Amino acid sequence: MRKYIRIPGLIIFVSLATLIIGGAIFFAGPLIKNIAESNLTDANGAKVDIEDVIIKWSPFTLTLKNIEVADKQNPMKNLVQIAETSFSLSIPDLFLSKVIIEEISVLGIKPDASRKTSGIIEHEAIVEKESAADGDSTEEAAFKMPDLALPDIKQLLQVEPLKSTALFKDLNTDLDNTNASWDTIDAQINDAARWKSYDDKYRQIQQGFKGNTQQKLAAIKSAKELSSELKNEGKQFNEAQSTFKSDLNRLETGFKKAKAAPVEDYQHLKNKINLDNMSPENISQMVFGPQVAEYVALARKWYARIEPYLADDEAVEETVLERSKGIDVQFKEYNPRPDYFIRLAKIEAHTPRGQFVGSVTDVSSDQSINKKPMRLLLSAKGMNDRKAEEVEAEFNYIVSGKGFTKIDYLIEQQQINDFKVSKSSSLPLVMQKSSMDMSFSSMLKDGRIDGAGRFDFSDVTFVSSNKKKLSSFNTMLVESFSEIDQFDIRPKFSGSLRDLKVGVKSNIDNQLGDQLKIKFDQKKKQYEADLKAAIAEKYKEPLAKIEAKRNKLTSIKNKVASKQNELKEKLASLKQSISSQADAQKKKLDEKKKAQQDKLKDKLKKKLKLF
Amino acid sequence: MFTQIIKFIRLLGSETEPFQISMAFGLAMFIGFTPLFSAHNLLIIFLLLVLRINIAAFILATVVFSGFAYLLDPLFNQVGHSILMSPGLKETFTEMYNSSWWRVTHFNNTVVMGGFVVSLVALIPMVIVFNIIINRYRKHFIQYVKNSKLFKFMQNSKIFARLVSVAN
Repeated sequence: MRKYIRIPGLIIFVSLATLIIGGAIFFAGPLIKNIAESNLTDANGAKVDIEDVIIKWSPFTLTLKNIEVADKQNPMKNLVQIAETSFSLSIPDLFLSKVIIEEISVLGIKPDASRKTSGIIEHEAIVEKESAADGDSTEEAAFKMPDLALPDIKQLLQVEPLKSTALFKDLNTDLDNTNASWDTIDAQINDAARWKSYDDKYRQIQQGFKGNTQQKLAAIKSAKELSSELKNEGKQFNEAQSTFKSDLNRLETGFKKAKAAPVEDYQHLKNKINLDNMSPENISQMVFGPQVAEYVALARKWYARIEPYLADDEAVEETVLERSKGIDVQFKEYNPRPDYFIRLAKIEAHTPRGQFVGSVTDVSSDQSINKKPMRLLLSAKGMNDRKAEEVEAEFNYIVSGKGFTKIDYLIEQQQINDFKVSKSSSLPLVMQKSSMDMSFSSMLKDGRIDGAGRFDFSDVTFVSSNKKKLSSFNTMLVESFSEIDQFDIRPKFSGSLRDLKVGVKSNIDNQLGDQLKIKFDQKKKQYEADLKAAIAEKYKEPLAKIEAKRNKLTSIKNKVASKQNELKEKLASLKQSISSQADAQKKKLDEKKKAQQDKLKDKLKKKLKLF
Repeated sequence: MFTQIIKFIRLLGSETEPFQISMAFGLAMFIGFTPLFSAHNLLIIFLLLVLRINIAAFILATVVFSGFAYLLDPLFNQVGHSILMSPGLKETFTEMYNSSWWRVTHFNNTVVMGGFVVSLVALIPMVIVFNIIINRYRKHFIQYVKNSKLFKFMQNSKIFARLVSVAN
């Protein structure tokens, strides 16, 4: 037997085996640590550091302490830092190349923590930095807003040709001419010397009527002559009145036109400036669109970070034969399970805004085997700046080619302070304070993402950081914003991950529209009032002068009318005097005639008695 | 390496049993033709240490066969693929595939299977052939070399003395 068996060799083999197994057990921790760091670093593309690995052998449990996963895009920051993770593994499953974990706890997750050393893998080239889409963006392009620069009223009245000016000028000329003509007529009609002569004659006639019969007859004759002269005078008066009437009618027409002209000028100017046709465009898309797009980009960035670790719809790659490595032939498994599977992962994450707890279930490298989608549920309550936050996600890739990812996100009562809504210099708008409720739902399917959300803002205060440099319209817009105390934003986005279109609707458009309308109406009314007042002021003095001239004409007319009345009275008096005197004379003559007749009768009777 | 070659040449002419040397060659095939950290190689190491098999020959042969393996990998892959995909063995392999212990051996890898099978098939012929070669070497070749003029000439040269000192 000793010819063929080497006893020292056996001893050496047993010793080596004992050494290896003992060493493996003793150094399992560091060994697993190195293997895990190496494999995870390769998978991540940046360093993964594990502080310590603690092993319990029965049941086989691994506890990893302080895992730092560096961010490939930002090597001085950790994509995520995990304080402790603990899970049990089945060793027979490990031999079957399966990592099956019933329950894993992941505690103290901190995203975006700083690193002490760079996470770059030394042999790799310098990592390309992401564009500045996730940081503070530089100023956005200025909004294209309509402007409401109303023209200066004084300049406008100087420059614009006004109807009133021409009409007033014509009317003034007409008044002056009419005044001159009426002065002439007045001078003719009211010739003092002539009227004195009439008065003298009248007095003489009245004297004559008191005299004897001859004087009375002479007076009657004079009265008739005077009546005739006065009747002629009356004709002149009538002619003058007729002239006055036609002149006054003409002047009245001109006066009405001149009085109405400023109103017409005002309407004309108002129409020319076109104060009624200004309305805001879709403000919400302009103002909130970039912000929403930023959030969508941020969500896209985070999705891109976790996407490599998710099961997907892509066809299984053809295995490429590598020299000395061969190909692993797969046989049917009696108990098919994915290569790695985590039934339940309990998560606890610390973020600056609060602590999240939650779970991820059915994490699988091949959902078509375990036939369950991966679900994520994370929630937090009583946070620093909000009441609650919740993320619910489903990654369903059970059926190849029909996989989808669905994410629902909810925030309750987030307090917002000094939030720059718009960074544009043409509309620097800050939401000074507000309370926000947000719900958001999206689905990624066939490389296309569709989503919609709703942001409800209440107790809102908007302010502008720099009102002085704003155009008049933007000032009005900012004032309109400040009147709004609640609104909603309803973003929608769709498209591929690389070419995502974001649309924003909001009831703030209607509110702004109403407010702008109110403010615009106020401004319009004020401008109209100012314009009206300016026009009225411009024509106040000319109108007063015209009025004075008109009054002068009226006084001439009244004077002439008064004289005409006086003339009529005199004529009436003369007529009556002539008539009464004529009657008296006639009566006297009749009496005399009768007396003569009686006398003749008596004589005749006497003569007849004789016969 | 050079030292190993010299030692091997001395070994060939030594009193060591030819079986020990040829068996070393045979076992070295397994190590050389299959990936180093395969489970069956543990058995090979065990056999190497426990059985009276020449370790120097084994190490040298491993190096040689590893070199051949690089050229023969496509053959091993093809052989392994044919064996693994053969319908008659499908059930057996399926049973083995679902067993944790058999999976440790990584038998479902085409290079492992192909290399192992080729080594297994070539083991006995290889041992027999090497036995014959070693016996003939010892019987005929050594005597021939010793009697040759060249050897006699070199025996007196400094180069030969140097080679001997290195071999020792």
